[in-house]
Amino acid sequence: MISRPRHRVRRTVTLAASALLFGAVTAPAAQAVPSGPPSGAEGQPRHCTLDLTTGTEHCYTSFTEAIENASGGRIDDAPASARTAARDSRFRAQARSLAADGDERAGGVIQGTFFDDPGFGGDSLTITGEGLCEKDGWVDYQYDLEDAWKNRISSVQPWGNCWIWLYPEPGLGGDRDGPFKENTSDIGAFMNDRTQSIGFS
Amino acid sequence: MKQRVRWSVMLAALVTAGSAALAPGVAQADDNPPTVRELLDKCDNGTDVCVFHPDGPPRDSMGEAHQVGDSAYNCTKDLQRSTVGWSDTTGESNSVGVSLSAEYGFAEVFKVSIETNYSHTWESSHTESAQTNIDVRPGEVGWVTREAQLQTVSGKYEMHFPDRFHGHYIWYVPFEATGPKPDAPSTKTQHTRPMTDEEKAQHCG
Repeated sequence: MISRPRHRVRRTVTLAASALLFGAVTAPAAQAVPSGPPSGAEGQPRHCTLDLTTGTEHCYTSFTEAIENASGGRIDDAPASARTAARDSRFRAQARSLAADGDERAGGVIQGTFFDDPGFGGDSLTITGEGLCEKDGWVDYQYDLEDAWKNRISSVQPWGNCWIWLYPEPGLGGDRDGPFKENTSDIGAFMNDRTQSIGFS
Repeated sequence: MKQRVRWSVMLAALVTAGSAALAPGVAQADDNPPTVRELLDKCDNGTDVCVFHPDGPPRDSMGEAHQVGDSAYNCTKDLQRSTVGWSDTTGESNSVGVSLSAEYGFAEVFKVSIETNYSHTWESSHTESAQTNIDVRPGEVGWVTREAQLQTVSGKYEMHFPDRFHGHYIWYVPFEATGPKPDAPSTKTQHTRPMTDEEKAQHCG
Protein backbone atom coordinates (compact mmCIF):
# COMPACT_ATOMS: atom_id res chain seq x y z
CA MET A 1 0.00 0.00 0.00
CA ILE A 2 1.28 3.41 -0.87
CA SER A 3 0.31 6.41 1.15
CA ARG A 4 0.71 9.97 0.02
CA PRO A 5 2.78 12.38 2.06
CA ARG A 6 1.59 15.78 3.00
CA HIS A 7 3.02 18.08 0.45
CA ARG A 8 2.49 21.52 -0.77
CA VAL A 9 4.10 23.37 -3.54
CA ARG A 10 6.54 25.76 -2.04
CA ARG A 11 8.78 26.35 -4.98
CA THR A 12 6.98 29.44 -6.18
CA VAL A 13 7.32 30.98 -2.77
CA THR A 14 10.95 30.11 -2.32
CA LEU A 15 11.93 31.18 -5.80
CA ALA A 16 10.35 34.54 -5.26
CA ALA A 17 12.08 34.94 -1.94
CA SER A 18 15.37 33.89 -3.42
CA ALA A 19 15.06 36.37 -6.19
CA LEU A 20 14.64 39.11 -3.65
CA LEU A 21 17.41 37.79 -1.45
CA PHE A 22 19.89 37.52 -4.28
CA GLY A 23 18.98 40.80 -5.78
CA ALA A 24 17.18 39.20 -8.70
CA VAL A 25 20.35 38.79 -10.70
CA THR A 26 18.64 36.27 -12.88
CA ALA A 27 14.94 36.03 -13.19
CA PRO A 28 14.04 32.59 -11.88
CA ALA A 29 12.46 30.36 -14.44
CA ALA A 30 9.68 27.98 -13.56
CA GLN A 31 11.57 25.28 -15.42
CA ALA A 32 15.17 24.76 -16.40
CA VAL A 33 16.25 25.91 -19.77
CA PRO A 34 17.50 22.81 -21.58
CA SER A 35 20.98 23.25 -22.94
CA GLY A 36 20.84 20.62 -25.63
CA PRO A 37 20.05 16.95 -25.43
CA PRO A 38 21.32 15.19 -22.31
CA SER A 39 23.38 12.63 -24.17
CA GLY A 40 26.90 13.75 -24.88
CA ALA A 41 28.78 13.52 -28.13
CA GLU A 42 30.01 10.14 -29.27
CA GLY A 43 27.95 8.32 -26.68
CA GLN A 44 29.84 9.76 -23.71
CA PRO A 45 27.66 10.32 -20.65
CA ARG A 46 26.72 13.91 -20.03
CA HIS A 47 26.44 15.30 -16.54
CA CYS A 48 24.19 18.28 -15.95
CA THR A 49 23.45 20.47 -12.98
CA LEU A 50 20.25 22.34 -12.42
CA ASP A 51 19.87 25.16 -9.93
CA LEU A 52 16.26 25.23 -8.73
CA THR A 53 16.72 28.72 -7.41
CA THR A 54 17.53 30.23 -10.77
CA GLY A 55 16.36 27.51 -13.16
CA THR A 56 19.82 27.53 -14.71
CA GLU A 57 21.22 24.32 -16.18
CA HIS A 58 24.81 23.54 -17.08
CA CYS A 59 26.19 20.36 -18.58
CA TYR A 60 29.66 18.86 -18.31
CA THR A 61 31.56 15.89 -19.60
CA SER A 62 32.40 14.55 -16.14
CA PHE A 63 30.36 14.05 -13.03
CA THR A 64 33.15 15.47 -10.90
CA GLU A 65 33.10 18.67 -12.87
CA ALA A 66 29.35 18.83 -12.54
CA ILE A 67 29.44 18.44 -8.77
CA GLU A 68 32.24 20.93 -8.40
CA ASN A 69 30.26 23.46 -10.33
CA ALA A 70 27.04 22.62 -8.54
CA SER A 71 28.73 23.41 -5.27
CA GLY A 72 30.62 26.41 -6.55
CA GLY A 73 33.88 24.54 -6.20
CA ARG A 74 35.07 21.82 -3.90
CA ILE A 75 33.56 23.56 -0.93
CA ASP A 76 29.90 24.15 -0.62
CA ASP A 77 28.65 26.47 1.96
CA ALA A 78 25.10 26.99 2.95
CA PRO A 79 23.18 27.20 6.15
CA ALA A 80 21.20 24.18 7.15
CA SER A 81 17.92 25.83 6.42
CA ALA A 82 16.29 29.07 5.54
CA ARG A 83 15.78 29.66 9.23
CA THR A 84 19.48 29.38 9.85
CA ALA A 85 20.08 31.66 6.93
CA ALA A 86 18.05 34.33 8.59
CA ARG A 87 20.29 34.15 11.66
CA ASP A 88 23.57 33.80 9.86
CA SER A 89 25.22 37.10 9.16
CA ARG A 90 27.97 35.53 7.05
CA PHE A 91 25.46 33.88 4.77
CA ARG A 92 23.69 37.16 4.45
CA ALA A 93 26.91 38.80 3.48
CA GLN A 94 27.60 36.11 0.94
CA ALA A 95 24.12 36.44 -0.46
CA ARG A 96 24.85 40.06 -1.02
CA SER A 97 28.15 39.19 -2.56
CA LEU A 98 26.52 36.74 -4.93
CA ALA A 99 24.08 39.34 -6.01
CA ALA A 100 26.90 41.70 -6.71
CA ASP A 101 28.95 39.11 -8.57
CA GLY A 102 26.07 37.78 -10.55
CA ASP A 103 27.32 34.25 -9.99
CA GLU A 104 24.14 32.29 -9.85
CA ARG A 105 25.94 28.96 -9.75
CA ALA A 106 27.78 29.39 -6.50
CA GLY A 107 26.38 28.49 -3.13
CA GLY A 108 23.73 25.92 -4.00
CA VAL A 109 23.06 22.93 -1.82
CA ILE A 110 22.97 19.65 -3.68
CA GLN A 111 19.61 17.97 -3.08
CA GLY A 112 19.71 15.00 -5.41
CA THR A 113 21.40 13.31 -8.32
CA PHE A 114 19.52 11.28 -10.91
CA PHE A 115 21.05 8.79 -13.32
CA ASP A 116 19.92 7.47 -16.67
CA ASP A 117 21.08 3.92 -15.99
CA PRO A 118 21.02 1.58 -12.99
CA GLY A 119 24.19 1.55 -10.88
CA PHE A 120 24.59 5.33 -11.23
CA GLY A 121 25.51 4.92 -14.85
CA GLY A 122 24.93 6.98 -17.96
CA ASP A 123 23.90 10.61 -18.03
CA SER A 124 23.25 12.34 -14.73
CA LEU A 125 21.27 15.32 -13.51
CA THR A 126 22.27 16.96 -10.22
CA ILE A 127 19.74 19.31 -8.70
CA THR A 128 20.72 22.07 -6.31
CA GLY A 129 18.48 24.27 -4.25
CA GLU A 130 18.64 26.96 -1.67
CA GLY A 131 18.98 24.75 1.39
CA LEU A 132 18.72 21.40 3.05
CA CYS A 133 15.40 19.60 3.31
CA GLU A 134 13.86 20.29 6.66
CA LYS A 135 12.44 16.88 7.56
CA ASP A 136 9.16 18.30 8.71
CA GLY A 137 6.88 16.04 6.70
CA TRP A 138 6.51 18.42 3.78
CA VAL A 139 7.79 18.44 0.25
CA ASP A 140 10.25 21.31 0.43
CA TYR A 141 11.20 21.43 -3.23
CA GLN A 142 9.83 19.95 -6.41
CA TYR A 143 10.82 19.86 -10.03
CA ASP A 144 9.12 18.93 -13.28
CA LEU A 145 11.65 17.25 -15.54
CA GLU A 146 12.31 18.84 -18.91
CA ASP A 147 11.32 16.70 -21.88
CA ALA A 148 14.83 15.43 -22.47
CA TRP A 149 14.93 13.88 -18.99
CA LYS A 150 11.40 12.50 -18.87
CA ASN A 151 10.99 8.73 -18.53
CA ARG A 152 14.69 8.01 -18.11
CA ILE A 153 15.65 7.88 -14.44
CA SER A 154 16.85 4.49 -13.20
CA SER A 155 18.99 5.28 -10.14
CA VAL A 156 18.97 8.11 -7.63
CA GLN A 157 21.02 9.67 -4.86
CA PRO A 158 19.39 11.88 -2.23
CA TRP A 159 21.63 14.65 -0.89
CA GLY A 160 21.07 17.52 1.51
CA ASN A 161 18.96 15.62 4.08
CA CYS A 162 16.33 15.11 1.40
CA TRP A 163 14.15 12.14 0.68
CA ILE A 164 13.31 11.71 -2.98
CA TRP A 165 9.84 10.99 -4.35
CA LEU A 166 9.32 10.10 -8.00
CA TYR A 167 6.13 10.70 -9.99
CA PRO A 168 5.12 9.64 -13.51
CA GLU A 169 3.38 12.92 -14.30
CA PRO A 170 4.35 16.58 -14.03
CA GLY A 171 3.36 18.45 -10.89
CA LEU A 172 3.86 15.41 -8.63
CA GLY A 173 0.94 13.74 -10.36
CA GLY A 174 -0.01 10.11 -10.83
CA ASP A 175 1.56 7.19 -9.01
CA ARG A 176 4.32 7.81 -6.57
CA ASP A 177 7.45 5.90 -5.61
CA GLY A 178 9.58 6.56 -2.58
CA PRO A 179 10.82 7.79 -0.35
CA PHE A 180 14.33 7.05 -1.54
CA LYS A 181 16.25 7.86 1.61
CA GLU A 182 19.71 6.78 0.51
CA ASN A 183 21.73 6.13 -2.61
CA THR A 184 19.64 3.70 -4.67
CA SER A 185 21.40 2.02 -7.55
CA ASP A 186 18.18 0.58 -8.96
CA ILE A 187 14.87 2.25 -8.24
CA GLY A 188 12.97 -0.83 -9.31
CA ALA A 189 10.48 -1.65 -12.01
CA PHE A 190 7.60 0.38 -10.67
CA MET A 191 9.02 3.79 -11.61
CA ASN A 192 11.99 2.84 -13.77
CA ASP A 193 12.09 5.08 -16.87
CA ARG A 194 8.76 6.65 -15.84
CA THR A 195 9.68 9.69 -13.78
CA GLN A 196 8.42 13.07 -14.93
CA SER A 197 8.48 15.02 -11.69
CA ILE A 198 10.44 14.87 -8.46
CA GLY A 199 9.66 15.87 -4.91
CA PHE A 200 12.26 16.53 -2.20
CA SER A 201 11.09 16.24 1.39
CA MET B 1 0.01 28.20 7.25
CA LYS B 2 3.19 26.46 6.22
CA GLN B 3 3.66 28.82 3.32
CA ARG B 4 3.16 31.76 5.56
CA VAL B 5 5.89 30.58 7.90
CA ARG B 6 8.26 30.06 5.00
CA TRP B 7 7.55 33.51 3.67
CA SER B 8 8.29 35.13 6.97
CA VAL B 9 11.55 33.23 7.27
CA MET B 10 12.75 34.25 3.85
CA LEU B 11 11.57 37.79 4.23
CA ALA B 12 13.35 38.02 7.54
CA ALA B 13 16.47 36.83 5.73
CA LEU B 14 15.96 39.50 3.14
CA VAL B 15 15.53 42.26 5.64
CA THR B 16 18.56 41.27 7.65
CA ALA B 17 20.55 40.77 4.48
CA GLY B 18 19.91 44.36 3.64
CA SER B 19 21.11 45.55 7.00
CA ALA B 20 24.11 43.21 6.94
CA ALA B 21 25.49 45.07 3.98
CA LEU B 22 26.11 47.98 6.28
CA ALA B 23 27.62 45.90 9.05
CA PRO B 24 31.41 45.96 9.45
CA GLY B 25 33.56 42.87 9.89
CA VAL B 26 32.12 40.68 7.21
CA ALA B 27 33.61 37.20 7.54
CA GLN B 28 36.16 36.34 4.93
CA ALA B 29 36.89 33.02 3.28
CA ASP B 30 38.97 30.64 5.37
CA ASP B 31 42.63 31.36 4.71
CA ASN B 32 43.65 27.96 5.98
CA PRO B 33 41.26 25.43 4.47
CA PRO B 34 41.45 21.89 5.80
CA THR B 35 43.01 19.09 3.81
CA VAL B 36 40.89 16.29 2.41
CA ARG B 37 42.38 13.99 5.03
CA GLU B 38 41.51 16.42 7.78
CA LEU B 39 37.94 16.58 6.58
CA LEU B 40 37.54 12.84 6.18
CA ASP B 41 38.83 12.30 9.69
CA LYS B 42 35.71 14.17 10.80
CA CYS B 43 33.37 11.76 9.04
CA ASP B 44 31.08 10.32 11.73
CA ASN B 45 33.43 11.92 14.21
CA GLY B 46 32.01 15.39 14.55
CA THR B 47 29.54 15.47 11.68
CA ASP B 48 25.77 15.28 11.67
CA VAL B 49 25.83 13.63 8.27
CA CYS B 50 28.58 11.84 6.40
CA VAL B 51 27.51 10.06 3.22
CA PHE B 52 29.52 8.80 0.28
CA HIS B 53 27.90 9.33 -3.11
CA PRO B 54 29.49 7.25 -5.90
CA ASP B 55 29.72 9.12 -9.17
CA GLY B 56 29.15 6.09 -11.33
CA PRO B 57 29.52 2.34 -11.46
CA PRO B 58 32.88 0.83 -10.49
CA ARG B 59 35.40 1.08 -13.30
CA ASP B 60 37.32 -2.08 -14.08
CA SER B 61 40.96 -2.10 -15.10
CA MET B 62 43.94 -4.41 -15.15
CA GLY B 63 46.80 -3.87 -12.77
CA GLU B 64 50.36 -3.69 -14.00
CA ALA B 65 51.88 -6.98 -15.09
CA HIS B 66 54.65 -7.96 -12.73
CA GLN B 67 56.76 -11.01 -12.12
CA VAL B 68 55.69 -13.42 -9.44
CA GLY B 69 57.89 -16.16 -8.06
CA ASP B 70 61.46 -16.83 -9.07
CA SER B 71 62.90 -17.12 -12.55
CA ALA B 72 63.68 -20.63 -13.85
CA TYR B 73 67.01 -21.01 -15.63
CA ASN B 74 67.52 -24.02 -17.88
CA CYS B 75 71.20 -24.84 -17.85
CA THR B 76 70.69 -28.30 -19.43
CA LYS B 77 70.60 -29.38 -23.04
CA ASP B 78 66.99 -30.59 -22.73
CA LEU B 79 63.64 -28.90 -22.55
CA GLN B 80 62.72 -28.51 -18.91
CA ARG B 81 59.35 -28.12 -17.32
CA SER B 82 59.83 -25.95 -14.25
CA THR B 83 57.23 -25.32 -11.60
CA VAL B 84 57.26 -21.81 -10.20
CA GLY B 85 55.57 -21.36 -6.86
CA TRP B 86 54.37 -17.89 -6.06
CA SER B 87 52.18 -15.81 -3.79
CA ASP B 88 51.08 -12.32 -4.74
CA THR B 89 49.08 -9.69 -2.88
CA THR B 90 47.09 -6.98 -4.61
CA GLY B 91 46.56 -3.98 -2.39
CA GLU B 92 44.48 -0.85 -2.61
CA SER B 93 45.30 2.75 -3.16
CA ASN B 94 43.19 5.80 -2.61
CA SER B 95 43.29 9.54 -2.87
CA VAL B 96 44.15 10.11 0.79
CA GLY B 97 46.70 7.35 1.19
CA VAL B 98 45.08 5.73 4.19
CA SER B 99 44.14 2.09 4.18
CA LEU B 100 40.40 1.55 4.11
CA SER B 101 40.96 -1.53 6.23
CA ALA B 102 41.69 0.76 9.17
CA GLU B 103 38.84 1.75 11.41
CA TYR B 104 38.26 5.26 10.20
CA GLY B 105 34.72 6.58 10.01
CA PHE B 106 35.06 7.54 6.37
CA ALA B 107 36.39 4.09 5.51
CA GLU B 108 33.39 2.43 7.09
CA VAL B 109 31.01 4.79 5.29
CA PHE B 110 32.75 4.03 2.01
CA LYS B 111 32.66 0.26 2.47
CA VAL B 112 29.01 0.24 3.51
CA SER B 113 28.19 2.35 0.47
CA ILE B 114 29.91 -0.16 -1.81
CA GLU B 115 28.15 -3.09 -0.21
CA THR B 116 24.77 -1.41 -0.37
CA ASN B 117 25.02 -0.12 -3.90
CA TYR B 118 26.99 -2.78 -5.69
CA SER B 119 26.18 -5.91 -3.68
CA HIS B 120 29.76 -6.85 -3.02
CA THR B 121 32.27 -6.09 -0.35
CA TRP B 122 35.26 -3.80 -0.71
CA GLU B 123 38.52 -5.72 -0.47
CA SER B 124 41.51 -3.76 0.71
CA SER B 125 43.83 -6.56 -0.28
CA HIS B 126 43.69 -9.94 -1.93
CA THR B 127 46.37 -12.60 -1.92
CA GLU B 128 46.59 -15.34 -4.52
CA SER B 129 48.99 -18.26 -4.32
CA ALA B 130 49.62 -20.89 -6.98
CA GLN B 131 52.18 -22.98 -8.78
CA THR B 132 52.63 -22.38 -12.47
CA ASN B 133 54.45 -24.67 -14.92
CA ILE B 134 56.78 -23.22 -17.54
CA ASP B 135 58.47 -25.07 -20.36
CA VAL B 136 61.96 -23.59 -20.65
CA ARG B 137 64.16 -24.46 -23.61
CA PRO B 138 67.89 -25.10 -23.18
CA GLY B 139 69.83 -21.93 -22.44
CA GLU B 140 66.72 -19.93 -21.71
CA VAL B 141 65.16 -18.40 -18.65
CA GLY B 142 61.45 -18.58 -17.83
CA TRP B 143 59.26 -16.52 -15.51
CA VAL B 144 55.64 -15.89 -14.66
CA THR B 145 53.81 -12.57 -14.60
CA ARG B 146 50.49 -11.78 -13.05
CA GLU B 147 47.97 -9.02 -13.74
CA ALA B 148 45.19 -8.54 -11.21
CA GLN B 149 41.79 -7.15 -12.06
CA LEU B 150 41.13 -3.90 -10.26
CA GLN B 151 38.09 -1.79 -9.62
CA THR B 152 37.99 1.95 -9.05
CA VAL B 153 35.19 3.72 -7.27
CA SER B 154 35.08 7.50 -7.09
CA GLY B 155 32.62 10.01 -5.75
CA LYS B 156 32.07 12.64 -3.12
CA TYR B 157 31.57 12.61 0.60
CA GLU B 158 28.79 14.91 1.69
CA MET B 159 29.53 16.13 5.19
CA HIS B 160 27.30 18.30 7.36
CA PHE B 161 28.68 19.93 10.47
CA PRO B 162 26.58 21.13 13.40
CA ASP B 163 28.74 24.23 13.57
CA ARG B 164 30.89 25.79 10.94
CA PHE B 165 34.03 23.82 10.27
CA HIS B 166 36.70 26.03 8.77
CA GLY B 167 33.97 28.46 7.93
CA HIS B 168 31.47 26.09 6.33
CA TYR B 169 28.51 23.98 7.39
CA ILE B 170 28.66 21.66 4.39
CA TRP B 171 31.65 20.19 2.68
CA TYR B 172 31.76 18.05 -0.45
CA VAL B 173 34.95 16.05 -0.44
CA PRO B 174 36.22 14.13 -3.47
CA PHE B 175 37.47 10.61 -2.95
CA GLU B 176 38.65 7.78 -5.18
CA ALA B 177 39.84 4.30 -4.30
CA THR B 178 41.22 1.45 -6.37
CA GLY B 179 41.43 -2.09 -5.07
CA PRO B 180 41.29 -5.71 -6.16
CA LYS B 181 38.09 -6.66 -7.92
CA PRO B 182 36.36 -9.26 -5.78
CA ASP B 183 36.05 -12.77 -7.19
CA ALA B 184 37.77 -11.79 -10.40
CA PRO B 185 40.46 -14.10 -11.77
CA SER B 186 43.88 -12.66 -12.46
CA THR B 187 45.83 -13.19 -15.66
CA LYS B 188 48.94 -15.35 -15.39
CA THR B 189 51.39 -15.46 -18.28
CA GLN B 190 54.46 -17.63 -18.83
CA HIS B 191 57.45 -16.01 -20.54
CA THR B 192 60.79 -17.32 -21.83
CA ARG B 193 63.82 -15.75 -23.46
CA PRO B 194 67.47 -16.69 -24.02
CA MET B 195 69.72 -16.13 -21.07
CA THR B 196 72.24 -13.34 -21.31
CA ASP B 197 75.91 -14.16 -20.96
CA GLU B 198 75.84 -12.63 -17.53
CA GLU B 199 72.88 -14.81 -16.49
CA LYS B 200 74.58 -17.90 -17.87
CA ALA B 201 77.71 -17.11 -15.91
CA GLN B 202 75.75 -16.41 -12.78
CA HIS B 203 73.29 -19.33 -12.86
CA CYS B 204 74.93 -22.04 -14.96
CA GLY B 205 78.58 -21.74 -13.97
